[in-house]
Amino acid sequence: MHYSKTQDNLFTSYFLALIPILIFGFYKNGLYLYLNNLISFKTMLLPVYFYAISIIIGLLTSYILKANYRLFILNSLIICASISLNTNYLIYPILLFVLLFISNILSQKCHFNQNSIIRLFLILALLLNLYRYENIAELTNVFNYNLFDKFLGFTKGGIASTSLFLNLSALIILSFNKFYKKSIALSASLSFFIVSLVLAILTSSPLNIVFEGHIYYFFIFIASDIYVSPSTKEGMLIYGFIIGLLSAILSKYLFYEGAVLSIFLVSLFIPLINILINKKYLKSS
Amino acid sequence: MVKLIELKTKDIPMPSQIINKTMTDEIYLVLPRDAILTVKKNSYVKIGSKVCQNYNLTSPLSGFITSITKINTINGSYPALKIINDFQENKTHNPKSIAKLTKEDLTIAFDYFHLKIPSSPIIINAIDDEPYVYTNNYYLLSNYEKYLELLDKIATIYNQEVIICLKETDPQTINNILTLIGMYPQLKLKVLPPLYLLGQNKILKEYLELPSPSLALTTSMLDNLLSYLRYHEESSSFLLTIKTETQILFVRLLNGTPIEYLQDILPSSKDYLVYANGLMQGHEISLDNLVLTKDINSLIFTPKTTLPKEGRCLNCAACSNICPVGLNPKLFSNPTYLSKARLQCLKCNLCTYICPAYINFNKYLKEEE
Repeated sequence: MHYSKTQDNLFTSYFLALIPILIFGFYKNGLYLYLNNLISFKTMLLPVYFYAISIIIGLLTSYILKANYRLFILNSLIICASISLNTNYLIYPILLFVLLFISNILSQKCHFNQNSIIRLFLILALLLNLYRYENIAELTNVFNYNLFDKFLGFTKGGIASTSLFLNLSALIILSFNKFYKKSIALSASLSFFIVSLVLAILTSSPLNIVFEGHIYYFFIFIASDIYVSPSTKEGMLIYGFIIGLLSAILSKYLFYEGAVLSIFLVSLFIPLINILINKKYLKSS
Repeated sequence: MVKLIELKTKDIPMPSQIINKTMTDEIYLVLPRDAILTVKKNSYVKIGSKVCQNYNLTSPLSGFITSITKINTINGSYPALKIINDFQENKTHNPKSIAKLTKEDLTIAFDYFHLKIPSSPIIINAIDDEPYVYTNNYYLLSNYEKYLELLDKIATIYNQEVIICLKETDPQTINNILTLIGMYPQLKLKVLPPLYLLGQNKILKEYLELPSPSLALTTSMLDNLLSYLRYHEESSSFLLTIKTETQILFVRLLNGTPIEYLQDILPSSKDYLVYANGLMQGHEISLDNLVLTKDINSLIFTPKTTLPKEGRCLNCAACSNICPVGLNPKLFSNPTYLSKARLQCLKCNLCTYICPAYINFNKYLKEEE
């Protein structure tokens, strides 16, 4: 006898949570700009191109590695939603394929968060163009967005990862699944919120960073990786807390990649967190 | 306080009648491997006749012993006495009335079953943990007038309250108990939510916040106690839940009945996997030459399907979160942890049940055994 939900349901939850985010990405960076005559019809389809090519690369890699295709498609889409719109669209698929391939092989030998390292290396495809995360409207500031617009996601960041509102909605959708590691997402978000708020007050800097949607996107989708995490709830809370703390510090210097770099760095210490927590288990038993 | 969950099951209609299959032509009285027999081949035995010197083993029927043969039980292969029923129902003892039971009778019986003399409320556990298994509930349902009378006697003699615990999903038994319980002021009925593991006496006592030395009896134990007090022998029959794809049956059998005797009510085992003692804590068995003994409380027939392969661990911590005693099954691969964990493990199988990657944690516990 088995519980009715399995890991397949977790994949489904992730896809369901991602759909509104991806649709918003297309609206914000494509349709909305096109309707306001800021971009051409062809450029409007750029977000869709990134989504489609990510799915194809995910499928191809899983086929070659004979691995779970749903996992690879999901990871490709999660990464894709967080990259800049200005990423070189010709280099991106090649780089994504190579990174997915290498990281998958490496992950069998050492423990680290694959999506975070792939996402970090994808900056190479962005550097080939201009290191810029704004779309044309954000660059020229034509719409003069207010705070509520920014909460909805009309702010600079990844293709589809900027909406704090949609990211929080995704967290709610995912939290309904028993196997989603909400402890990581929640502890990371909470510690990031508090520490960055304190830092902003202490340094008298603007509070914008505290409400940046793309940072919370990393916590909800990348830090709470399907496979790579500490194996206990206490471990997850500690893991998330350190990620949030480090992200708050690193994001001061690396606005777009601070959080994802933190996730990668902290994920290298997962075995250590496991050892520390398991010591407690071994003692208590 | 342990964390308890409810297991979801499909609704299957429950029968109101128990099928009586105690009139079997022959039974196999299972012998411990070091048993010293007091009977020989072709000896005649009555119901309740002792057949063994070093064990309290009695014949459940009257008839002739025809052979000593090897049979299969759910616990392995054992020698057994084959007794052919003469249907004379000759008994060694006449039943004693419950009203005439004395404190001394009860003390002897409690001592026989290694039960503590009640010094705090007594719990009667009629809860079945396993999905689709209702054996404990049907023990109570099958003979509730006599059980209530006995429990009232125990409550009066020891001046203790008796709490009968039932699941809220057993309305028929609740109704029947309610019709009579008013006559016995020291008996209380407690209707509990259908949470998994409440069928375990230790967990039930914790749930009811009763002191751990409280006496807790399952209804099958109560059946044995009643039989011992009345006939000076343990009950020779037992109840069995049989669950097929479409129906649930309750059968009363004699201890040692060969499975062939149930052929008319069982589906063909070729098309099904058969589990003994439940889908959670039980195990798969073969019905070939099986003899049904009191160790078995249910047979569950499930269609033959390919079980999903074990996947990669998600590190989701669902196994450690669900463990009612707070173990971390992920550490079962560590021999030091495993040996310590085995002392605490309830073998409830919830870790394997919940695992989204179908990891069978039970295999570690079995290997160790």
